[in-house]
Amino acid sequence: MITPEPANDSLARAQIISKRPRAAVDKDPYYAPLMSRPASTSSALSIRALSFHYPTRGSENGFHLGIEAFDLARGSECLLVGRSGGGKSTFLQLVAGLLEPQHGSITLDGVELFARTTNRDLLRGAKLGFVFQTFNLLQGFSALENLLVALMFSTLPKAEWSARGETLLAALGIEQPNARVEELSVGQQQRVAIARALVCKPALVLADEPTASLDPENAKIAITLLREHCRIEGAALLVVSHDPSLVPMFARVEQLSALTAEGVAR
Amino acid sequence: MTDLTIVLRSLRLRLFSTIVTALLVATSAGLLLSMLSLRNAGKAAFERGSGNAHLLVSADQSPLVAVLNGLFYANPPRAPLSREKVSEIRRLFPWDFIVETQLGDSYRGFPVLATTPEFFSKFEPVVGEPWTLASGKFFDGNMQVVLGAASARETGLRLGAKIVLTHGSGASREGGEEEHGHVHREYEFEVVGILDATGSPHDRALFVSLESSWMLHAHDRREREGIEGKVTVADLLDDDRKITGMLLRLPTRSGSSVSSALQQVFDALRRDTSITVAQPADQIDKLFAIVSNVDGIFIALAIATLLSSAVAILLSMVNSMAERRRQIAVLRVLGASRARVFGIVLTEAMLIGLVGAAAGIVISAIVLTIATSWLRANLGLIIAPDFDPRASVLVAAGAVLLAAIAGLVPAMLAYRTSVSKQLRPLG
Repeated sequence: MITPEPANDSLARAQIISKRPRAAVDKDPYYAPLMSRPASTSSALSIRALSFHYPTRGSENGFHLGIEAFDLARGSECLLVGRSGGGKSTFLQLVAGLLEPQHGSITLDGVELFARTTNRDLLRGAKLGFVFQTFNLLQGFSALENLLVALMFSTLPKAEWSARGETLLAALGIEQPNARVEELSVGQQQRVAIARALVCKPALVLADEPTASLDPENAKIAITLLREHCRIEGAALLVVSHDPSLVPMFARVEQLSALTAEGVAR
Repeated sequence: MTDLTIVLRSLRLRLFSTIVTALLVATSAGLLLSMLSLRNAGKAAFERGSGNAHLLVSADQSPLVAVLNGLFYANPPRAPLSREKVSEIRRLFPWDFIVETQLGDSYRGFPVLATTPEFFSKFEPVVGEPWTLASGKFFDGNMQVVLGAASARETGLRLGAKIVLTHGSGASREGGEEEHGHVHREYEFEVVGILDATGSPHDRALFVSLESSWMLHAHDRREREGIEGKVTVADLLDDDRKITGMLLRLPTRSGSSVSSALQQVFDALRRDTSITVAQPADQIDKLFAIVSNVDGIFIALAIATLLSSAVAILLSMVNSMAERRRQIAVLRVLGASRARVFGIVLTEAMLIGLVGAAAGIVISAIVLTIATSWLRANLGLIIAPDFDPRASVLVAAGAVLLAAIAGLVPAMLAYRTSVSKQLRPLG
C-alpha cells in the first residue's frame, strides 16, 4: 500500500526540477492543486481475477497472464518489474483496453472497462495517459499540437485546450511549444511525451519502459518529472520497467510474477 | 485541433507523393472537363449557326451537305436553283420569310454571301438574337459590302474601304487572289457596315446584295459574248439571276419558333427530287450523332485516366501505410476509435480527390482558352466553351467518389491496425 508523500516534499522536488524559485512556484496556478488537494483514496485502477490468454507460435499452451487482484489509488504510484517477455506490456495493454481478457474485470476510475456499455476508446481518451519507451510523438506536429491531439479525445472543454497545453509544456520546461517535435532534443521529446500523457487530466498514467531510450542521468530526470507531475495532476502512475535503477525511487514496487495466481508464462 | 488538421498534417508529411497524386487527378479531371466542354461548345457553336430558318433548300447532294454549305460556308454549292423552282417554292406556302442566297465568291479566303435585305431584317443567325451592327449600316444598294465580325477583325477592313471579290473559294487569307481564281476587278465594293459577333459561322463571312453578285457574273457573261461596258440592273437576264440557296421560315404562333405545318411542308418539298431540302436543326443533330461516337471514345479515355488516378491514390496511400501505422496506433491509444481513424484516412483520400478536381477545373480552363484560340486561328472555328458549373460539379464529385473508393483499402488497413503490434511487441 502506498502512502502518499507530503505535498510540500513533492513541491520541493518539482521546484528543483523546474529550477524556479519557491515564490514563483507559489504564484503559479499550475501548482495550486498540489497545495490544496488532499490525498485521494479513490481507486484509479482495480483489477480482479484477470485472465488473458493467446496462442503463440512454437508453444503448445501459448501465453497466459493471470492476476488475482491489483489496486492503485488516485495519486499513488507503482513500479511493476519483471523479466523480458514476462507480460508487462501485455498487462499495460489490458489496462488500456487495447487487449480484451477472457475473464476478470478491470475498473478504471470507477468505470468497468470491459462492460458492454463502456466505450473503451472514450474511456481511454478521458482517463488514461501513456508514456512510451520511444515517446511515439506525432511527427510533423508541434509540441503543443501533440498535446492538442490528445485533448481531442478528452472530456475537457475545447476552450481550455490551448491554455492547458501551454501551461503544462511551460511547467515541463518546453520553451518552444510551437517547435516541431522532430526539432527537439531527446530530453525535450521525453518531456513533451510526459505532458501529452497528463494533458487530459487522466486518472491513471501508464508508462511503458519510459527510461529505456535515455542515459542514466536523463532517465532519472525523466522519471522524477513524470512522478512529480503525476502527483501535481493527481494521477496514479503505473510504470513498467526492467530498469533496476528505478527500484529505489518507488515506494511501491511489484513483481509481475508475484501478482499472478499461477505464475505468469507457463 | 480537428480531424481535418490531422489529415492536412499527414498529407503535408507526404507532400511530394500528395502533390504528384493530386496532379494526376487534376490532369485527368481537367482532360475530362475539357472534352465535355469542347463537345458542348462545338455543338452549341453549330446550333447557333442554324438560325431561325425552318428549312434550307439548295441543289446540293444531301441535306447535311446543304446545311454545311449553306449555313456553315464549307464549300460553294455545286449547282444553282432555277428561277422557276424558286418561284414554285415561293407559291407553295404563305411563308413567314424567304431569304435567297448565293455563294460562290470570296474575299481573301472569306466566303461572300450574296443575299437580300431580308437576310438582315428577318433571318436571325441565332434564334432570338437578330443581327446588330458594330458600326455602319446594312447594305441598301449595290456594290456595298457588310463584314462579319471575324472577317472584319482578321482582314483589318474599316468602313469606307474598297475591295474586289474573287470568283470561287478564293485565295489564302494572306492574299494572292490571282493565283486562286478570277478577280472581279471591274467592280469595287465599299465596306458600309461591320456586324457584331454572333458566335456563329456567319461571323467569318462578307455580305453583299444579290443584284451586285448577279452583275459581277453578268459582266463575265457579257465579256464572253463580246459586249463591253459596265452592267446595270437593267442588263440582267433571268439566267443571270441565279441563287444557290433559300432560307425559309413558316409562320408560327407568337412566342413560339415551332410551326405545326413544318413536317407537312418538308414532306411536300422532299418529293421534288431536283432540289434538296433540309431542316438545319435536324441535320446538326445528325452530324453530332456521328461525331459523338468519336467524342465518346475521347471521353471514355478521359474517364479511364480518371480511374487510373484513383488507382494512383490507392497505391500512394497503401505504400504510405507502413510508416503511418504507428501514427494511427498512437491516435488509437490517445482515444481515437477505429471508425475515427478509418474516417481520417478516408478523408485524406477524398481531399486528394477534391484538390485534384479543383486543380483540374483550373487546368481545364487553361486548356480551353488555348484550344479556343488555336481553333479560331488555325481552323477558323469559333467555339466559345462556357464554364459549365454542372459538369464541373459532376466531375469533381466523381473524382471525390473515386478517391473515396480508392481510399477504402488504406482506410480499412488503418481500421485494422493492431495497436499492440505497432507500439511495442507483446512481452
